[in-house]
Amino acid sequence: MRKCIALILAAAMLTGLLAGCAADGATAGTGEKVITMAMTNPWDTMMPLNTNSNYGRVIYDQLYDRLTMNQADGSFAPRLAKSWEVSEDSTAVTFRLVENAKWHDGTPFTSADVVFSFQLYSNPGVEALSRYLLQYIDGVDASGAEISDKSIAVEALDDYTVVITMKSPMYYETLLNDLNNVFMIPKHIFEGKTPEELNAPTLWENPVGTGAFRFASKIDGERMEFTANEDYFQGAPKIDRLVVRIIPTANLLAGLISGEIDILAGGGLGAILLDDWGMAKEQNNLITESIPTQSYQMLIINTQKPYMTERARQAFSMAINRDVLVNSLLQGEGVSIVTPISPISPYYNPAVEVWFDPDLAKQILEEENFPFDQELVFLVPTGNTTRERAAVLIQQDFQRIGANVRIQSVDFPTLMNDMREELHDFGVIGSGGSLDPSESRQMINPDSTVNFSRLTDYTLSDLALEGTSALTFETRVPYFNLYQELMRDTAAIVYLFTTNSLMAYNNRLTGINAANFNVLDWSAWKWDIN
Amino acid sequence: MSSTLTGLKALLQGDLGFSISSRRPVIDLIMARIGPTAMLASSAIILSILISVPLGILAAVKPNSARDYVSTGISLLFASTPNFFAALVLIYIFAVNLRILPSGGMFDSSGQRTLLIQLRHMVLPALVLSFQQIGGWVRYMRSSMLDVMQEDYIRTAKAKGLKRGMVIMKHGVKNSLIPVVTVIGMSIPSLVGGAVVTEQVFSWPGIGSLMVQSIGSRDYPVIMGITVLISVTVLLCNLIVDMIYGLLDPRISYN
Repeated sequence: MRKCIALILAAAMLTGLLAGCAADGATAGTGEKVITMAMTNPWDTMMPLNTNSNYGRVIYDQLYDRLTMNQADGSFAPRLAKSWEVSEDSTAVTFRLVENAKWHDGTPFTSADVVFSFQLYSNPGVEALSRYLLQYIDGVDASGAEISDKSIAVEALDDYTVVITMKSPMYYETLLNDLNNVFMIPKHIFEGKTPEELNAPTLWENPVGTGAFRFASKIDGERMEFTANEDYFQGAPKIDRLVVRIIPTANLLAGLISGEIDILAGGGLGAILLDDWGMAKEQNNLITESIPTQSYQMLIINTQKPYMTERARQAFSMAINRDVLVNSLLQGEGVSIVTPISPISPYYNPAVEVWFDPDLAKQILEEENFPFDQELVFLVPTGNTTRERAAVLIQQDFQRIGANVRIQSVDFPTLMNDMREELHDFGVIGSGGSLDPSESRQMINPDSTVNFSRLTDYTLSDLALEGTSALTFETRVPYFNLYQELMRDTAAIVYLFTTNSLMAYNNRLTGINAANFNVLDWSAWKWDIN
Repeated sequence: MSSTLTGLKALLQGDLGFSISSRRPVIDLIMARIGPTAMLASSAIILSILISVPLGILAAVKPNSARDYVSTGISLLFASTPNFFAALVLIYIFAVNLRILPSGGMFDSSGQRTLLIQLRHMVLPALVLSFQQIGGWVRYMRSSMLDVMQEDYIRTAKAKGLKRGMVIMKHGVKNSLIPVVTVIGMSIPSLVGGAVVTEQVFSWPGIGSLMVQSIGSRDYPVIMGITVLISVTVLLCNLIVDMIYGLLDPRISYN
């Protein structure tokens, strides 16, 4: 018995000892400057061309570089390309490369690496989920795969000039948008390897990039550690080491408060939960930023139901009190919308106002002889509590104008399936959005697999296509203005609100541009610790 | 049918296929995670035994006494507290408020990978994992001990004039451990494959968190590989438990 008690006491003492030592958080200890960033899921692969996951891109952004970088305001920032110009006929973009970039092993970065990278991405023998990003470049098919050996139209004019030729005249920013996820790969390391060798994940486990940080170590599913690349062409990082850790969403705030985490990856990759936002704002050691995004929630209306006429759909759109959704449900951390183009987009049309008029809505339904006794099925996917609560508020708004709505909670695959089989009257889903209509067009294109409102009319989809085919910002604007007007009035999809990204980071950190995290630009070499 | 046979043949050769998301062999992914899981599970088992066996004995030696009620109360509390809740409460107390233990992960960001740092990170997850076990094991130990203490050989031992402590430890505890060993043995597979919630909450890079990540990315080969691993663990643990019976009770023999 005494032995048992002694053992318990020994265990307790050991616990105390462990608790007592090295209790300080991320940046203490060796005197090094270390920043710990948290995201909620691990990277899937170390092969930058073979992913669709932005969790992977968090780590590639540290190790590798891209030619240009998307910015939150819709503009583009230089990276490996210091400048670029589009040809007069809008068929080619010439990139001038920086001349002082080096790979981590000291080899200079040149245009040959750029040409090689694009050839690698477009090689059909190589596994490259990101290949579709090359779809607009001449010499590849619709999937981005080369038509013949090295046929992709990316040419080096000299050591530091590269020309990318497009399939047809197009707005060059559409190409730049996609190049935001094309990482440059070192030719001298991978040249001469067979596709089988290139597809072996082990080949990519010791990455050599041009990025601001060098790979140091990793624990699968837990962390990746990086050391500063002193020779980085944009200037050496101000910190010594960067640690990217995988932390579940529920623990992000706890980690930030205790100092174990310094910063979140932001956006959908790691952000404060809405329920935790109040507590996050109260913390003295944290800076919090509520960053508007283009991610939105939308209500899908099945246009194939005989009673869902355009006017009836407009009535339902008008019946929704979006202010309540934003102010009560989102605690003000979002924006009411009535089109898929969010107010942060340069194409946003303020003339298309958010409407709310339940009296008029009811009147319209009466004029349309709407079958008020008909039970309307409202499919709501489980898993996103904010969306589930929004659905209940929308149901109440609809009941106020006399509609009889039944919420049916389903898992996401069932929701997609049921909407394709037209079993719904309403459905609610979210989307990442885009600054122009390129993303929302997919949802209203009758040929698309995600045409959940079952539209059969091509007007909207053709209009979006015409707009995106226009070659300059100025010529696109009239199309997109009309697109927003028609999107609201067609009301096949009722846009509800955009959600802000709730960011938090330790107040000792400087040089943070959290808004750009949403467009996958962390620029961690600019980060510092006070 | 033929594909099933091919799959089974590959399985016997240790080939569990390739992960859809990382394109790496499933066996490699599992092997990378099995160490942390084994470490966490063994700490949790040791902790559970160290706490539950003495508590069970304490409760059984004097049934219906104050310490019996306390021990019963503790086991009831532990058994009925869900893992994720216990985890969040402990994180809130020790990581957020007191700031004496980390809220998750296997190491801190200091760049050092010492055993002491790893043990520090293991305290909370091991505690949470052991909570569920302690709840059940205390009850098993108590009832098993109560049964044994009424056996004739205990009365004989007492009649021979043996000290009370000797009777309990030498004759009582050893014999009452037999059913408890079964329960402990059968809990091991659940600690290996079933520490899903605990590993996920504490960002512990083991089999449980691999399972959650694979389900999230619909990586079926990995999910199936882990299921096979859990099945094998169940069989192995059954075998080991059967072998330990022979050690605890010489009457049980396999010859």
